[in-house]
Amino acid sequence: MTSRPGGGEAARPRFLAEHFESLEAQLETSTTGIWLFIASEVLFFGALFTAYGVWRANHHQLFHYAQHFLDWRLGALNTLVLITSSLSAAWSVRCAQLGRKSGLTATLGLTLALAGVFLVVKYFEYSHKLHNGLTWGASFHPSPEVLLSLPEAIRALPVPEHLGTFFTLYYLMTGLHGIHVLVGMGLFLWLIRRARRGDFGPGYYGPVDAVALYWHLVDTIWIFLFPLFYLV
Amino acid sequence: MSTDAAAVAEPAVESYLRGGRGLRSWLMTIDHKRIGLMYLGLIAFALFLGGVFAMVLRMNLWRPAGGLVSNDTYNKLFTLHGAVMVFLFVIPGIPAALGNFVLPLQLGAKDVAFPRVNLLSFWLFALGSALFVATLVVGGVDTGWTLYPPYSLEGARGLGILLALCGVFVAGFSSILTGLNFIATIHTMRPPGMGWFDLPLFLWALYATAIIQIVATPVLGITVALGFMERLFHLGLFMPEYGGDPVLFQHFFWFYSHPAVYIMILPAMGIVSEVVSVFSRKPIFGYRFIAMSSIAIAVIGFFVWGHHMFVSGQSKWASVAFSFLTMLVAVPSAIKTFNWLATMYKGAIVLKTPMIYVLAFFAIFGVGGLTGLFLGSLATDVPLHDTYFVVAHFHFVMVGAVLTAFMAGLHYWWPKMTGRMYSETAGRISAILVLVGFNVAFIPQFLAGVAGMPRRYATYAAAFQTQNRVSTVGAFVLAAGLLLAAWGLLASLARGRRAPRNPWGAASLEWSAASPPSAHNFERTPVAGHPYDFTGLRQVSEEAGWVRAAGAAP
Amino acid sequence: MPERASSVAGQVDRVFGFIFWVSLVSLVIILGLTVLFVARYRARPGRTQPEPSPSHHNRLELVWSGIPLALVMIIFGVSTAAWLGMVEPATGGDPLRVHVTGRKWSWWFDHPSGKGAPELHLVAGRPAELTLASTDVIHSLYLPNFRLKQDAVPGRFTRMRFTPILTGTFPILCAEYCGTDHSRMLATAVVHPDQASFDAWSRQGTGEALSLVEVGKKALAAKGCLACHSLDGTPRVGPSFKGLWGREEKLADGTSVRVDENYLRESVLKPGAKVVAGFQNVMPPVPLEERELQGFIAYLQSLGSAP
Ligand code: HEA
Ligand code: HEA
Ligand code: HEC
Ligand code: CUA
Ligand SMILES: [Cu+2]
Repeated sequence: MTSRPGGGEAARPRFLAEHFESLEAQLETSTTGIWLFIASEVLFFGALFTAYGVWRANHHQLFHYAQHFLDWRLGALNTLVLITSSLSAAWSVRCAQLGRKSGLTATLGLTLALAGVFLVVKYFEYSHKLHNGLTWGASFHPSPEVLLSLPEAIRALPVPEHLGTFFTLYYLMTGLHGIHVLVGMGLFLWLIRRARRGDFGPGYYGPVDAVALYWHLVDTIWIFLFPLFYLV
Repeated sequence: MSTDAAAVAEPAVESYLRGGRGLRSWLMTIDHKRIGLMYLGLIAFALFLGGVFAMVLRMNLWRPAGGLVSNDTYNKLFTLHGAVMVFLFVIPGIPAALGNFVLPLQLGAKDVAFPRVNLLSFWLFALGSALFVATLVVGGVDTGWTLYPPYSLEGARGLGILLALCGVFVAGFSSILTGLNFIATIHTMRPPGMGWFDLPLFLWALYATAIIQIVATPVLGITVALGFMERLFHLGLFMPEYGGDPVLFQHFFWFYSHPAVYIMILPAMGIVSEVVSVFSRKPIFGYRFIAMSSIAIAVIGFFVWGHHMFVSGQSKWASVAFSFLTMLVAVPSAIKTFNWLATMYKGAIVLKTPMIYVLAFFAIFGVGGLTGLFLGSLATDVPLHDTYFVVAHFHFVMVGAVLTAFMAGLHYWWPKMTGRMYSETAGRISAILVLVGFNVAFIPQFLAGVAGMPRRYATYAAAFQTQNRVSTVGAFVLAAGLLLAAWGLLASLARGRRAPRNPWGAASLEWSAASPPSAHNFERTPVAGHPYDFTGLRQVSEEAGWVRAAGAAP
Repeated sequence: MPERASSVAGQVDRVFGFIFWVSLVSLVIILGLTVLFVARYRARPGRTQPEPSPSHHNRLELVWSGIPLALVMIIFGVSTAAWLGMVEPATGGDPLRVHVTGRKWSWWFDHPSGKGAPELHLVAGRPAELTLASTDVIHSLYLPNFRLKQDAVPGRFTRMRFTPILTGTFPILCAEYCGTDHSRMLATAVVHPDQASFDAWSRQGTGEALSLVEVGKKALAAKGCLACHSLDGTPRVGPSFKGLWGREEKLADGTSVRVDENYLRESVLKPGAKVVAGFQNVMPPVPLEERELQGFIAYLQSLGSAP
């Protein structure tokens, strides 16, 4: 905070922005802020879920068919990973409040690692699909192998048209979610650096709290995506 | 203030304009007042740009065969006119420019909740605007501001549309962040003793607006993002040839763009509430009804978007439901209108420039809103849809109401922003010119619309020539009015006399700060009284402005 | 306002008139009060302070919330009633079915007799049913004198029903922005005094161009539809086309649908979407072109609907 003339007195806590009277006020404000941010994020994905819903309604047989291209086991694995990471994120907030420096860095590190695992798994899913021509929209041309890998009952059906759109939605929604995971990892790195510096403590843990909230959101969104695409 | 002397004496504070010199101290500032001013500069430019486009449109419509510009140019012009005016002028106009400046002052706070975020949203907005200007360079866009596919996403549209979509996307984020900032500020930074129902109504309006910004804008963002990718990767969401549904896009677009019209009007209504009370020297009538109707508009406004699609082939009962809700959303506006009138009743009405603009607002918003009823009603919308009746409707509300209120607010807070008094004569004349010019420009468009002239027509049947010529003449008078206003304001920077703390005798907190305020707004944290309690305020003199007599309730 | 040339124009104008008067009265009240107050209560020497008056009055405010509410509800009622009358099927009389195609930047009208023309021909007093399609972008068929407008959306059919009541020629415009010559995408509607003169017109110079019905017939043979669909009512692999148009079709999932343009489009392009009861879902999706599809539908219509 560039300190302007007439700013805080000497006694002011280090991280108290000068337009606030007290750390409590500042914390309350930042929490309000992050909640509002989450609200708009929900709407952001909400639009995509609506698009999904509309398509689902108009082409249910298409979804029934396409879903067999996805491996629900990988999806389930990732769900598990994210939920655990959410837990450790929550734990890190507690550590920060209690001023447990080592515990804080550890939990943050764990969350970061799990986020990494999630992305690795996603990477394998994506690359496998792209290899087999399971791309979006008009460019969708499944290779014979994947078609053979489908269960008998499904192969019997005529291939519905616009299969690509299912994958359009798949890539859009999981992709946007993936970007959020990346951002989250960046935030955790930043937190770890500050935690090492010992910035956080009972008085000041707003950032940890905020990032954790954000992370829970990312987790929740995935919990919706998983059944919608993998289990249908 | 206890004694007049204290008030009259030039305050010994260093104005936020002087503290910190050099370009950088502005571009990197986190002072909400400077950010507000920078916004003001940008949107004034946007208004000017959009206005110039509009003038070319009007001149081309002078002759039925057009001919001043080619059809394609004309189509690009009204697209950019609409897009620039909506995304770069009206939507950020009042909240980002005036709101940023006034909101913390009215709360007696030092700044908004997240000053850095505030700066960020300014830069996002600047970037968005730049992208729009860039579309001009690459040859413009001709999709209409509504960007309907399939047309807008055809390969033939070229680079322009992509830039425009990016522009909307980026500007959208700026809007979201501003809304987030405002809500957080109003929630957590109210001074001791200011309950929710002691907020100035301008803040209630900004609050309602911010809700819409946060909830609706993300949908716009994702919509244009999808459009962008549909264009590049043929996702098959909106384009029939890839199995998409163009009407789905319309739903998405209007889910944002209808609430957006209330993003425009609510802050305008906020300004009207402030001004009408101050210049009638009377507390606002029915504070709670006005505050609550803002929220009502914000909420109901989310469920009426389908009224833009009555002939698009959406399902019958959907149309009926949307029509019903559209009718409902008109009522809160009616309430406000009558409460404003009641505020003037038995007042002592001072006809300064802001008040004249506000009186113009009453008349024009009345017409604009009521014509909305013709469009909200199914049977009449079928013939009127996409005719000049619609064009006239939304200019009445966006130009006649919002732009007018913006001018009112600009003149009202100008002394606080710049520390100078603008010239009343210039102000009054411009207000009259705008009122007259506006009506001459847009009333004929109603007639053309009812007679069956579709919008977005570069050429038209000879039968409509008279209406169009009159409209063009009016447009020039209107432009003259605005230019005069701009001149009057800018000239005051050089020649205007120093503004006192409280030139209008208003009771809300911003007027107890110096004009212009110091970097920290207030020398000492002010005590909040009721924003419309004028008892004990008396005018020392034009020069010294108004002060509260000693002992009177703060 | 343009001369009223359709059965619905009258109602529309009545609704318009009603809203107009409501608005005018409200407006006069607002303007009147504004002017009155400014004149009476303007601050002047001897009137620097307002007179005491209440700062709120709930009953009063409820009144001026209630009255507008009542008014808009009445408007809604009146207007919706009229509108439902506009969109409900035109009852009685076999309608004159015209297939309208919008494309950049002209309209094309296929009339039942098989005659296609750049102008719309109708018969005064005979209900008309237009089926709108578009081959490129969204257009909107706008008939000011008929007080009617309907978008033509690519990838689906939309419909318009009304009865012309005046003979003569009336302008047709495109109301949905569609590019360069949007403002020149004009046509005319010719309303014949009686069936005779309409038939006379439609006989002129037919033949050289394939009529829509023939296009459909050809497609059925060419694309192998008749392998599975009979025309004489005997069910084969698939249901017969005889009497298909307009009937209530029972589906495998127990629901039932009325057979209309969009159902047929779907049945052809996405056979699996709605499977007819008593049949296997074995029909392959057949890529009919837009015009063939229109032809197929026109042809089914010409076969007539079930008694
Ligand atoms: C500031 C922006 C703004 C505002 C405030 C409004 C306000 C309203 N608008 Fe408008 N509208 C637009 C901007 C706005 N609109 C734009 C930009 C478009 C076109 C977009 C495009 O296609 O390009 C549009 C288009 C539009 C349509 C679609 C038309 C079409 O394309 O076919 C409809 C239909 O319902 C509509 C209705 C309304 C209604 C009912 C209100 C109501 O909120 C009005 C309420 C106000 C009053 C009712 C007047 C005040 C009250 C009184 C005078 C007391 C008496 C009142 C009663 C008796 C009820 N508007
Ligand atoms: C807030 C929004 C806004 C504003 C202010 C205006 C202002 C004007 N508009 Fe427009 N208009 C739209 C929004 C707006 N418009 C939209 C959304 C469309 C639909 C586009 C589409 O169909 O896609 C449209 C379409 C539209 C059309 C229809 C085109 C068509 O369908 O074929 C026309 C035609 O007359 C028109 C005219 C005008 C005129 C004469 C003005 C005049 O009021 C302009 C006067 C202003 C000036 C001349 C500039 C002067 C200003 C300054 C000098 C700066 C001063 C600065 C300060 C005081 C701080 N506009
Ligand atoms: C392989 C056989 C086969 C061919 C070839 C075929 N269909 Fe079908 N069609 C069916 C079957 C079986 C059904 C009933 C099950 C269903 O609705 O999918 C059907 C249903 C339909 C229906 C719905 C009929 C109803 O009763 O609702 C229409 C319309 C139709 N087909 C049109 C066509 C057209 C047009 C073509 C050629 C372009 C065509 N079909 C080619 C087998 C076929
Ligand atoms: Cu076709 Cu406009
Ligand atoms: Cu709207």
